[in-house]
Amino acid sequence: MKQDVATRFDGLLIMLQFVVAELATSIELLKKRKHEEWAECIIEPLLIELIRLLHYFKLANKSLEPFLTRTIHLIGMWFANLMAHLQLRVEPITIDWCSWRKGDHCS
Amino acid sequence: MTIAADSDEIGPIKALLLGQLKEKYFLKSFHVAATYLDPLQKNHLLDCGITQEMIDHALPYLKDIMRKVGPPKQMAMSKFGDKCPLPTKKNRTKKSRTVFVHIGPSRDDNDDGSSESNDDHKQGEAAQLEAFIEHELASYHLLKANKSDKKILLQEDTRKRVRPNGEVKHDVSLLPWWKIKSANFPLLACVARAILCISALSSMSECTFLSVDNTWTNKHNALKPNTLNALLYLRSNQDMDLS
Repeated sequence: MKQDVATRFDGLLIMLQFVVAELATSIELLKKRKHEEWAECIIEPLLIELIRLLHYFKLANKSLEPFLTRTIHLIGMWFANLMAHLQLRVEPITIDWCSWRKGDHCS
Repeated sequence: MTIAADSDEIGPIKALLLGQLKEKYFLKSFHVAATYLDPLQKNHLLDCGITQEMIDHALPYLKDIMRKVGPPKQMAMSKFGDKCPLPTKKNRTKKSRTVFVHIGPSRDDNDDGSSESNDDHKQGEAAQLEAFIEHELASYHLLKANKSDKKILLQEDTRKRVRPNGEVKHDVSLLPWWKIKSANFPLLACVARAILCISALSSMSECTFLSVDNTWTNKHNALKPNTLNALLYLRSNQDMDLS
């Protein structure tokens, strides 16, 4: 999928979320506009995976935005989280990243 | 949180994003220092993608700012390790929070013999300050967050303010903790106030520039600079709680 106008990743994420939520309608619309080949290229599982990937970046952005709280001390934590998120996962894993921030490790 | 395994198609996208992340998301000494000033994270810096080399750079940076803050008043009054008495209202004088960095020759340079004794005195003060900094950092490093600390550090709304549109504005929980601990760590508390106020993202400044676009429009293009300044000031502070 390609947009005519370059947008930031959160714009792309909103668009992808809309496409997945309204996939049947979107395919119908593409067919109506005689773009069947575009409709065939849409792979729903990959879209969902891409949304999950980008959604994490949105979470990081939301958590670090300084409108409500001071957040500079969380930069390192989110950097580590995003780096781990971008590693290729061969099998499902369980992560509890924020446990030390919540003070579980501090006695 | 359980994350499912990746498909083959997402691999190249992840590799592309990883490259972008490494290029654009970088940690500097003040980020590491800010993380170190969070008592819940200070002993887990290596888990935050911060390398030992970065920590080794950040600690001298922290010490440098502490040196610029200067000696606390209590230093002269009590020896290290003792509990410092807080200044009473009578003897409390307002201390400037601005840190001045002197560049160039000192104005105190004299040709007479008094310069040597002044130098000795300054060296003694510097050594005392250095020892105080080392002691404060060592005490902070050994500090373990107890239940009451965690309660303060993890609460979201220590000073919540309600905006006119109903949105609740929370204040950070780290700064109140440092305010409480300022008696034990006077220099680090000053440094925390200086470092933690730095904005993590540029979104706030972007918002300010956006409000310039909304104020200086095609129809309002003859505003004087002072008027524009005043309007922008009002816009950015419209939710200020004056009470």
